[in-house]
Amino acid sequence: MRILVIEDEKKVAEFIGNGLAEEGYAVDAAHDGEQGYFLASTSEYDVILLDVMLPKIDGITLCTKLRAEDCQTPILMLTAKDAVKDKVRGLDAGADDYVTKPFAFEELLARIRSLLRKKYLHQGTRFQVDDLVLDTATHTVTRAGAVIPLSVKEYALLEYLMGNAGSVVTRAMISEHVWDINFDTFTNVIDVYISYLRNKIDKGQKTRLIHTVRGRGYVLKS
Amino acid sequence: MIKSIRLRFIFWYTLILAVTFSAFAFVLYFHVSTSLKNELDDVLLTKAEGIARSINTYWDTEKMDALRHGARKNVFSKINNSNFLKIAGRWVEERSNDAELMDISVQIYKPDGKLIASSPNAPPELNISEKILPVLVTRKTFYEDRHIPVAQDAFLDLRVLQIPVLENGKAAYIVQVAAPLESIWTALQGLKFILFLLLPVTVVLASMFAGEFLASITLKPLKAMIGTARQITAENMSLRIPPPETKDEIRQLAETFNDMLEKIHRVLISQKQFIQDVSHELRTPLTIMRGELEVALKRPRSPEEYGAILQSNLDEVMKIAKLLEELLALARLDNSTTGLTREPTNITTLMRDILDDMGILARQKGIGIEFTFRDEITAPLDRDKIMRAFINLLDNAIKYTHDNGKIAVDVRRDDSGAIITVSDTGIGIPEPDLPRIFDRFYQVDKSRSSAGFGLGLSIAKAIIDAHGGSIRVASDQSQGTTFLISLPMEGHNPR
Repeated sequence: MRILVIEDEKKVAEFIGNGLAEEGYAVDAAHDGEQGYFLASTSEYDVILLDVMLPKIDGITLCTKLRAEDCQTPILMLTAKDAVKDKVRGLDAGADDYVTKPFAFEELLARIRSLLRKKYLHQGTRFQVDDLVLDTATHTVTRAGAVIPLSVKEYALLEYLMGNAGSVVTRAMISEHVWDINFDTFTNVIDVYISYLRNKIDKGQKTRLIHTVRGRGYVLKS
Repeated sequence: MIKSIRLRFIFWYTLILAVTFSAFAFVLYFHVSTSLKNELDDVLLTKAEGIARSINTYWDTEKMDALRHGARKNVFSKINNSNFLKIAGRWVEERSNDAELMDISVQIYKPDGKLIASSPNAPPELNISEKILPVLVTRKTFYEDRHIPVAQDAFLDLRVLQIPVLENGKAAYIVQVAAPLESIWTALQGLKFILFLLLPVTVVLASMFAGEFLASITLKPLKAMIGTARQITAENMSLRIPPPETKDEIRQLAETFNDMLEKIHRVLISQKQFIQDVSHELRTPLTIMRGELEVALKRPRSPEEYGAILQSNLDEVMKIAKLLEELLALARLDNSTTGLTREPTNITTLMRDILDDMGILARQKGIGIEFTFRDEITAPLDRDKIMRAFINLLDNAIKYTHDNGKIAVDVRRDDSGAIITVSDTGIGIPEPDLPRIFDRFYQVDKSRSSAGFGLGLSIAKAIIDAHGGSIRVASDQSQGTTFLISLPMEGHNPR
């Protein structure tokens, strides 16, 4: 899952970015409203974290602007103001949720997961395809009850595949949602990670779940 | 002591009226009773003298007749003369029923007190006591009040006048007239009833009602004010007392009260804003510290990573400490009890010292500082605080001036005191922001991080205000900003 963090306080943007990356999210950061607008309107993100007080374009205006341009990405407002009217202003501008600074990082993660659930239309924290189960809250993956240890990137790739289980995802889609903007699309990193996953999930199993669709990409199905 | 202002009002109103009316009643009663008696005495005297004259005329007529008939002259003394006794008796018989002697009884006595004649309405017990006789004959008039029993348990009060009628210096006979005092008593009784019962009761009742009425019309606007004041709470500070349509102390009170509310309201609003600003300023460092620590604790890290996180946290702690220090400085300046420690300070030297220090910062950006002065000025200043004010001003000037810009500082003297100008060729301040730049936490560019807290200018202004000086700002967005500071030469704290 790829997340855009628009936050002018560099140290705040930094720890959010680091923390999310460690959770397997691909994170891009913007330090003012204009940069944020450019990234949000040129790349595909799963969630946008948007600070309210921003240079150049403030968060409320930016949110209204993105919604007016039919951007459907879930937006989570980061606000230093906890007055009811400020929260109302943010939600009315089109934000889906908000957290008040200073926030608990676990809460931020839970709210991001909640927004992703809504986006990918499934209930709870569990994805299941055949006997493969992925829990987004505990970051655990099991096949037929046996725990499969995955690296952060492997986990992120599997989560994306399971979120789109049954439909074909292209390499471009994977690079947009699993890797950040600095990812070089001309390398074969995606194919390498797919083969890592195959080794851990499908090797020695009767039914193979990860299928290659020649010329198009990959699909996860039973 | 009566606690209620209303009861006190009624009490005093009633008391004053009661005392005034009592004094009036006593004077009136005394005056009426005396003048009624005097009048009766006058009437009695006139009557008695008239009777004496009339009897003497009778006697003189009788004497003329007798003389004509050739009587001897010495026979004509009234004293011990049986003829006179007859004439006096005849006069009483003929004249005592005259209309003008109505209610007045007449008796004639010999000088030794023996009764000669008596009008029919004279009570039989009315005589001249032997005790007064010797005194009576030596005087012209003799008044007395008599209390005479007329029947069982019935008495007659009479005002009695005796006058001796003289002949050749000796008392020839005594005329006694008496009038009942009853009519005076009746009149005075009525007056007493009116003055000492009806009047006090009326006055007390009327004044109680009037006092109550006056108290309530006086207190009515106050009651309205109390009603409004009761509704005012910290959340409801916009409520105001409607001032009465009058031009009196009550209106003044209402206006004073409203003024006071207005001031409290403003203080509350600015306090609330201040607290919001403070908490907002604290939020960013706390967000960073909490976030970095929480992310760090999610898994074990290398010593280098921990070191970087601790260093970053330390930086944020320092930021919070700096904010608290600035807030404390402001609070100390707000507190009028902690005065300034003034000592004669040479402003020119002081400015040169400050510019030496600040010059290092300026040179890093290639900014040149030009210092000019016309006079050596010494003023009583709190050196440390004034230094802080100018450091804040210069710090701002350096921060908002482009690299290789210019800052000019000028010190001179005018009628009002020392004038210091600090001008820069910086980015300037937009017109709409100018009136607010001295407000606490006010930042022209609200999202500029690491630009401080927006307290520097407030602190500078608070320090200059505490010295009784003033600071003004002029700015042009293309040419830069100029601060004009004036400091009085005489040290008197404005508060």
